[in-house]
Amino acid sequence: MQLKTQNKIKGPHIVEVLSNIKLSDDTWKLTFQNQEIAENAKPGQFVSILCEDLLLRRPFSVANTINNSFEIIYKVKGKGTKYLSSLRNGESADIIGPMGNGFTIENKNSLLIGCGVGIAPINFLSNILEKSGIKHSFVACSQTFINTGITENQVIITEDGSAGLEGRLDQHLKKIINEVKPEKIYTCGPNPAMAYVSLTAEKYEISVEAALERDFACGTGVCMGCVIQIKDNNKTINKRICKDGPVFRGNEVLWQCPI
Amino acid sequence: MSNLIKPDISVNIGRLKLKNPILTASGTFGYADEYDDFMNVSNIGAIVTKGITLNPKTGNPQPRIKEVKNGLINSIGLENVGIQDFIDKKLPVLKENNIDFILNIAGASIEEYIEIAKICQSNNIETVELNLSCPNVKSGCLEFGKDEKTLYKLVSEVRKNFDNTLIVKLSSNVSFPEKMAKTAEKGGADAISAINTVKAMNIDINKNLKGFKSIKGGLSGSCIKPLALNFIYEIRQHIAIPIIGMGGISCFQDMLEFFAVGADAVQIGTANFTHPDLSDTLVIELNNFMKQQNYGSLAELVRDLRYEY
Repeated sequence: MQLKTQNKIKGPHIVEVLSNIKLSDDTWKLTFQNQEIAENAKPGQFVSILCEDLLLRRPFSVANTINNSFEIIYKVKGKGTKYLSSLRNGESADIIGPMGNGFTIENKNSLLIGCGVGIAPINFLSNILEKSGIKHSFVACSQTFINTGITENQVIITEDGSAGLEGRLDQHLKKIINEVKPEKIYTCGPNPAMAYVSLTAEKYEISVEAALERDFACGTGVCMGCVIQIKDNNKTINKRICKDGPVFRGNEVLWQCPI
Repeated sequence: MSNLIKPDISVNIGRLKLKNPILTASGTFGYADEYDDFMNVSNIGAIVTKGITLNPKTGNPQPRIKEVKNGLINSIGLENVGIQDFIDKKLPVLKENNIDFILNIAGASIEEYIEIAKICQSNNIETVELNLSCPNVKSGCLEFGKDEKTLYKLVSEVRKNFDNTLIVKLSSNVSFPEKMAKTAEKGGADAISAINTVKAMNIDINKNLKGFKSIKGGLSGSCIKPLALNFIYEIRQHIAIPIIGMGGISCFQDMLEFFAVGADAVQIGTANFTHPDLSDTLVIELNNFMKQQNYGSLAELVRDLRYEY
């Protein structure tokens, strides 16, 4: 294998903040200017951002690209996301990416399910499918409403009933599947939600692609810190979420979580 | 000294002639191809591979990593492809792309280390780093680096089966660093590398105050730099063989500090995660610094830094 020996194609890029806006009480959308990332990023891929005073970069799914800019959606939870929420227009951040493997785009009637900040890559995918003229529906679930811009084919589910259908995904999913009759499902969100989507889809014999997350140390595939167990015939093997994923087939993941 | 002359930053470690003293530490740089997106990897002095065992290892269960203040605790458990897969799949990539490398090897018994050493010998692997200090596997590794008798037996047995450059990586989790370093030298090591990660634990108390989540593993990152500097300072005067220093190096100044206390070369570890292009940047910075300060060779710079000795 001949390596590319092209320096720094994935960064680190010093990128300018174009905007940083609140989508809900604790969820924000950051827009960065960078042509290389905007041109190369695919739905499901992520960028790793250096956050002030933290040793490790923090990974965020690309939530959209527009011309020479790209967006991320984040929930303020810890030091890293607090730092992100402090960024103002014109300031810069140190970013590497796009990293990992994105979703496989197929010309099939698709159901897209994003839960919480897992809405981010699903939002990007929805825009790409829209541009490609691929029929799809977008289910956005969250505790409280996250306004990413409502489209015609979007179903909103909020636990607090602040918008759309009230309740949790598991109260509505089967009905949605029966209505939409998807040939393929894409999902991103907390593991229990993705596990539920995968197991439900299996009953309907619909293939699922899920974008996973876990704390990363390197985010480049070298440290083996983020491995998950993947079913491989009759055994299980380790795969790195950051490098082999973050997108995996729903039925190959050994979902080790309560649903 | 003219600014036009390129300073000589090469350094010899046993029979290994490094083009520069900047290496990347085992477990933080994969098998090099992963960093191809961030630099021309062949610019680095050498990469040290992820620790390789005789058979593939699946490593420890999750959680495997936890960031702490200025540091990282890892409990990977030596997940790796095994020596044969390395030779079949990874070695050709390193050779084809002229990437100088050091193979880090680990075993669960002296016999296993000998077996891997023989495989390295027959495959003309030029340099091996013995991992005697991984804190994350139940048998082997750290146990071999703890007492002098076992360390001597292991190093001398590997030496008998491996003619090329042999580096022994030491742990700082010992009472008398200088004794371990002298023992490794007596056993036939061509160089010492130190330090490996330090045994550590993190506790997250549950919100309801009922119990806690914990992770035990090896601590790395800038918080261990003072420990590493002291360790190298303590062993330097007791051995004649070169030392490859590491532990929390994240900038040019850190690297100079390691040269000052006795390192002949350095390895960049956890900082590769933060700044994936750091090792390449340090090579450029070292060249520029030497030109600005009119140093013709790295040896001259190191001599000045160790003025106190």
